[in-house]
Amino acid sequence: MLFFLPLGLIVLLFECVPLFGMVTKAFGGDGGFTLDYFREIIEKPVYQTAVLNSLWVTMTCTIVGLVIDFFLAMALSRSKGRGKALYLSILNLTSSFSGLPLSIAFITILGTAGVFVLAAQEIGFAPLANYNLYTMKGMFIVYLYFQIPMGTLLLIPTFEKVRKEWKEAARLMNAGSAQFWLKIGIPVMMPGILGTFNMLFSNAVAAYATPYLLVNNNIPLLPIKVVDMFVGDVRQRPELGSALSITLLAIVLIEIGLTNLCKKHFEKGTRS
Amino acid sequence: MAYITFKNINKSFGSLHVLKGINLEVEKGELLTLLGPSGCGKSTLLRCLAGLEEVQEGQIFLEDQDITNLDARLRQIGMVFQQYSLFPNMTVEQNLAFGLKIQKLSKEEMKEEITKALKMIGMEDKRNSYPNQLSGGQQQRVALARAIVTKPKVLLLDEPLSAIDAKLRKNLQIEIRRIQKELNITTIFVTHDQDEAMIMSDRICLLNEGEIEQLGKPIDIYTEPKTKFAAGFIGNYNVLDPSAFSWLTGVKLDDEDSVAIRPETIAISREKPNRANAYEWQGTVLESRSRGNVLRYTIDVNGIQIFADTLFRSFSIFEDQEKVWLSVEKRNCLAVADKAAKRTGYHTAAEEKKSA
Amino acid sequence: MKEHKGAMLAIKIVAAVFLLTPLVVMFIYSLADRWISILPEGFTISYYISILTNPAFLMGIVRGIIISAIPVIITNISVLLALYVVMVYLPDMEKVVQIFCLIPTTINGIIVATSVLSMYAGSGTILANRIVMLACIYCVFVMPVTYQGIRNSLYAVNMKGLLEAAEMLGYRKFHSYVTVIIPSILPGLAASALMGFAALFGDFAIIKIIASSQFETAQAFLYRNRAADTQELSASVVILLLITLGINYAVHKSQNKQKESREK
Repeated sequence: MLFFLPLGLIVLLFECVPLFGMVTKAFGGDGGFTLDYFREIIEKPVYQTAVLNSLWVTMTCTIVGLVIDFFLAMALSRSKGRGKALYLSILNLTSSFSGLPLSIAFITILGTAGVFVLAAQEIGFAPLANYNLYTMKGMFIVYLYFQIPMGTLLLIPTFEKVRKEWKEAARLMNAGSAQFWLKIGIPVMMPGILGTFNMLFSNAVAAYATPYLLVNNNIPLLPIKVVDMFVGDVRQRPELGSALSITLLAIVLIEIGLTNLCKKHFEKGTRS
Repeated sequence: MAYITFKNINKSFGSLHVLKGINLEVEKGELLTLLGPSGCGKSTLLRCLAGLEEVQEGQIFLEDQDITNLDARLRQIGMVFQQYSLFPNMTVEQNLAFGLKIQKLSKEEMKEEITKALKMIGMEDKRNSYPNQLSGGQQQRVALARAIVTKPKVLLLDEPLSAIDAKLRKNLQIEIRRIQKELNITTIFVTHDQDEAMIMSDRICLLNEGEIEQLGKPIDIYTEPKTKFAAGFIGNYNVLDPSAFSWLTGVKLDDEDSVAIRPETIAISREKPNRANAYEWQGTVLESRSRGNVLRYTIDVNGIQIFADTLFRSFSIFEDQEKVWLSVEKRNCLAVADKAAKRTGYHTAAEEKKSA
Repeated sequence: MKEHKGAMLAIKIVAAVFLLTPLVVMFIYSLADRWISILPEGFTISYYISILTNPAFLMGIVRGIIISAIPVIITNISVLLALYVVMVYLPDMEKVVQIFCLIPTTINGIIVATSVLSMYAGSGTILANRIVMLACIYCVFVMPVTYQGIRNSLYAVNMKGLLEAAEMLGYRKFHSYVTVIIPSILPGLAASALMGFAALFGDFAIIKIIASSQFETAQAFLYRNRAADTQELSASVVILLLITLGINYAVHKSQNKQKESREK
């Protein structure tokens, strides 16, 4: 039993107690049950937009990223040999290129004095010369960047589940390749695709370093607001922060719940 | 022209030449088996006909139409694969409906065709099951139904029973043959199992290392193998090379030819039988093994091992180390070529009929 | 089937260019003398020299390594001990341990860090010490990857069978767990530990929340100097990336080693 102690202590002191504390703060206030903080989140435009902005950037970059990952994984599952091995190591390398260093790299390239921006100004290439990295749309490219390596690496094994015999059988029945993927390939891969979606989604919704460095408080985003409530330069409000944390957590849980519902629908037949 | 014609088909994978100028004709309504050891090119030939492999040299004709470069989707060919070819996300019914939907059949027609096909394989009750709820044998039945429900011109079976256990395999062999005859559908069957080929085929095409060794009715290949390989692969023949044969009999043969003797044509006795027109040798029983209703003896004759089969009967059981006499009629000693002869024309059903 | 070879090649190329551009530009930029037009105006390694002689940066790396390594070690030992009990004596508990170890995958680092901070910051105990707090949060943060790595390795070596065999030979179970099982899963253990280490070493969010001023790691150093001379900043990013690359390589090595030893 003694052997359980270290893990038990970590779990108890740093998972259970703080989370319990968070819940009591969010619903508690000065004794008694209250929903005031959640009402504030819903009613105050700044928190409202923070939630909506977070949802928007997370959803779009996850979906766009997933589409790119899908085709990239498809292309990689069809290649072999050294080229594939090299590509996989590029993905491995870039998957650990994230957070602060990644954001700094994008500032160096696309920031106000970024090398690509300056070069574009020199040759008069307007779309790049006027690129503004410090907006939601401008920041999107960084979000997209960290969705690609991880998602692709997760999807490649899923592609290997699609058997050659199915493609051949479908083809002999006069089905085109689009028909095959829509009716058989993607449905079979769906559990894997949804699992990847989960990973990408929770990764993006909690991204902190990138928005903190690029837009900080100009554009409200949920993770930044959460942290501000606890360590911000202005007035700290841990209770509201806890409520915001729970909102963030709820978004993730709802998303997981929805994908699990979807998964159930697609899993019939493919799981024994 | 025949229903299907392969004309000088060549195919290589890298430096490996897997099909070496195959010429073959298949008649309408027959079941032709491509038989051979793994790596002989039988599956590749089948996949070339289906359009799943590209033909590098030569032509394929189906109903007088050159289909060599026709997309696989348009060939109207049904195929059953080794295993796991059913779409796992669809029920049995949806699997069968997949090909029909593309043919734009009406709902009622589709239902009717599916019911007919399921009845034929005796699985109407599994209509709404998913493939992973079926046994391996049931899955292969459904795969067969899926292949025939679209009424293809040709049915291809690529070792469909190799993953099924022995007892069930026998039933399925008979069932596939029955359905094939009922529909009178031209069928090409690929297998490495000679018993399976013997049971199911109208004709067998024996392949070895990318070449046709022999083509003919099962009984003809069994009783008259033309090559050493055919004799060894199909009938478990004793194959004696020319020197061994002359050592035993004193008869000199052409250098090219070996002699094949089927084990069941060799009689064993304790006394010298003194038959006319037969070779007779004395030897020692090394061991005996029971193979169903047959006892197979391994007998040493002057250092050469010979197999002889007898029916399993109590009065003809010989002990190990017992001295026995073997006799075999001269007409049961067949001269077989070392390799398939260089062929000029191609094997046609007509030619086979003539020679039979 | 049509392979769409052209389209497949195109997407591979476009994605590779997109992924590699920031890396390549950072690398060139860190070596460039001045780069304010289309092309850099010359090359120099002076920025590397100045950053590598900057004690704050070097100390940051050392601090980063220490604060990443200690939690990884603590978590590995804790999980190894707990899984021993679970696998040998309490198989029913496995689900419970799994749930608690995997919770941090859903509840992200920010939530854990802020909730721990507001719980213990004013508590006056040792837990209020920011560095202790940081280490403990990191322990929680690497729990999922550690748990999965160890669990998979233990299943792969058939721990139950090995322990029973050792017991028949007269060894105490825990003794053979330490002397037989753990050494045999060491490569797999090393792989997951290094992955956890890399994740911690690259963390910015948690350290920012808990202790960026008290305990400046390399990441915190980057943040403090974000507005400084950008070439020097690029050089430090490149150095941090090289460290990550080294860890990645080590992960890869130990995974291969694990595979090999399993195939033997």
